[in-house]
Amino acid sequence: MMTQPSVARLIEVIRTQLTETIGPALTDDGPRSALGMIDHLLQTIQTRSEREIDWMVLQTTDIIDLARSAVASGDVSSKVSDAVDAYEANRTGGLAASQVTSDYAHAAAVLSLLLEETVGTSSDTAIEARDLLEREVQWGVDVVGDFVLVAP
Amino acid sequence: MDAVQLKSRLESFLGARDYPAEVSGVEQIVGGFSQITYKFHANTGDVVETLVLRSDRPGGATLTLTDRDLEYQVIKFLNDAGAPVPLVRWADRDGSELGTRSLISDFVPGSNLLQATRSGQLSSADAALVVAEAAAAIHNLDTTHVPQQIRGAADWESYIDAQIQAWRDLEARQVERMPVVRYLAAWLDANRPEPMELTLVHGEFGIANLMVSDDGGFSVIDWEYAHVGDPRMDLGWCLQRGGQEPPNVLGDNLIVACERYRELTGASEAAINPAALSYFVILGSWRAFDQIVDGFSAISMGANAPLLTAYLISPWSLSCSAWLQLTKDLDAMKTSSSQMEVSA
Repeated sequence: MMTQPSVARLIEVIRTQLTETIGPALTDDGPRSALGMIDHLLQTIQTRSEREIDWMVLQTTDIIDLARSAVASGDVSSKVSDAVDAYEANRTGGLAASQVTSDYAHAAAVLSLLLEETVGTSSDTAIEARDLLEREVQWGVDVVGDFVLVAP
Repeated sequence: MDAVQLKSRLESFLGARDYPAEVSGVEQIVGGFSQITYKFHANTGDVVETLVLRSDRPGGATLTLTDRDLEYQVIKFLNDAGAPVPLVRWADRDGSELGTRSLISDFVPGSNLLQATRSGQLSSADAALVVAEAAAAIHNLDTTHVPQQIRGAADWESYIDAQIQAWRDLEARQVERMPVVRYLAAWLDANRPEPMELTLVHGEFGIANLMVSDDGGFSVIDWEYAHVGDPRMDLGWCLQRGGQEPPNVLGDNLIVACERYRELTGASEAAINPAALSYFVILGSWRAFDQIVDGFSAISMGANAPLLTAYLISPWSLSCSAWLQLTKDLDAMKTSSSQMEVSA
């Protein structure tokens, strides 16, 4: 099996071809604009292909650890406990992208409840939940990378 | 529809309204997500007028859906009230004559405020005063006779409730839970600003929708999102757009613009201040992404979607980061002012 070149590297090759070979041949604004959007999307896919699985596994683990701790200390309502139970019941534990995404989706439901229940407070749970939210939002920004809006 | 077809349809349309005219110079002037706007000349033999045709994109090829017939009614109300708005002349309310639902207004010569500041025609500080004056002109209007369809909430609390609920609804109908949206909605609910009287709200009050003439006059265009609501929605929208499409004339001159707005409207400093307007940057932003985020879910579910929808994931991600940062800044300001009160 070929593991090299990596997915990220292959995408880079495609982007280079699109920019250097296809781009100059386009004269109409519509296709040029579409090419700009395609190139940006490929850039985001490049970043995601390299780090997304690892990032989601870590985020899922940290969310569930925090929720268990908050439930144990009585900081949060039974809704959070129920959401953790739902996560456990549906957890795949696999490393295929679809499995990690599914596990992460259940963890996101848990984090949403933690944030709602602790908004406006400064408990340890509240601070850690907001830190996890910041990490999630920052990951979204990292995926975007360099960005200049292409006109539709 | 090509230019020849459009010219022919426009001539038939105008002729049916006792305005027989030869149409020339049909030219698309603005690109947008929901409308196409053309400028054209109408020569009646006695006079040549320059008019603007604003139409829905054909075949439902839009990312946002608004009602051109309702927009016509709103602009008629504004014209009757003497508001700084181009005169609306006619509407094709069902699209049977011009191909899609459309309205025709007077053309406003000059440039929009975004162009005027980028070109140096107006300084950022002067542009901010135009923003404050235009906003005050809209928000000071008596809303007794606005079209019934743009009246929503009965009172301020209900209006804010509905805006926060719109954030919650946006999240609830997606394919996955979105912690950032859930947090923003909870934060908005817990940090409501000083109430204000509901007024007419433009709904898309960016400086690209403010036209300025050489004599210093201004007019406000594009009324598709007008409604009765909290006037700070417009100022918050202007700040938000300025962040995405510099220069941010309001953000860069916020204290002065707030002062000018308060002078013209009689609003209190407790209601109109930088922190309160930042709250409305977040509160009103659901509408900029509402249908776009639905598009993300549609793609996830296997639906065919325009490339643009997938592309807009990036502006969404950047906006989430900006909104979250605003909540942190406003929390820090609140903590700081509480500490000052305690020490005083």
